[in-house]
Amino acid sequence: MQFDVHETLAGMMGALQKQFSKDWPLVKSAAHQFLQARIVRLALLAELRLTGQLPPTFFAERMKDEQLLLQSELHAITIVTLAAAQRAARASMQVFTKAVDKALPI
Amino acid sequence: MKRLILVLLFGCLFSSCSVTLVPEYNASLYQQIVTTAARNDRLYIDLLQADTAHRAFSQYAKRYAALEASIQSINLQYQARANNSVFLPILENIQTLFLKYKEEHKQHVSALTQAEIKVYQAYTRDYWKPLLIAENALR
Repeated sequence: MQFDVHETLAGMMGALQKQFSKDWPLVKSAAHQFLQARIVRLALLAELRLTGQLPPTFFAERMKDEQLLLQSELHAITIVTLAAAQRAARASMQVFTKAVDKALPI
Repeated sequence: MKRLILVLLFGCLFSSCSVTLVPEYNASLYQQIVTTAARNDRLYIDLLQADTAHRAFSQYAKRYAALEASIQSINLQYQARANNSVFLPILENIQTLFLKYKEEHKQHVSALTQAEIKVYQAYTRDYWKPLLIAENALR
């Protein structure tokens, strides 16, 4: 059987898109969860500070911690995206492998 | 010649050319993260339930030490994994915040207030979340 590079590339692109569209909700869900958690956390912090239940130094320290949490969340989103990219690349490679496999005379 | 290229590509795909951007999923490590995060949360649940006379750092020191050891164990396992670079800042932030809250409890002159414990609990839950979501994405 002949190895058709155009057909193979189209197949690889298709696999890539299919896997990415399957994994994209995971990336969105992670970002949504972090955003929701931030809203709840900041609302609690604001409420307790405004009602005088938290000293200003404690409040200031938590605001500093927000930076670390944001950093962790961005790294987590990067990992979720990289994992999706890895799965997409592997799915695409599989299409290529199968095409080469078919073209090999046995 | 054409056949040779095909064979080389074929061999490459099956050997060293697999795309690896993140570590492989590790079920036992994921379980250890879940357990440690739950114990960390439990510490603040117990503090919330305790009356002010029973909130001194000395009464919780052993639990803090056990948690610190568990976090360090998780950290070491991540350091030993391939393609770990994006995970390490998350681990570092968990350790930094855990030790900071432990130190603040230790240095607290009076008993921790209900409001302070609630905030510690919220931040603790949320510093574990990125690691749990990231590890889970590797499945």
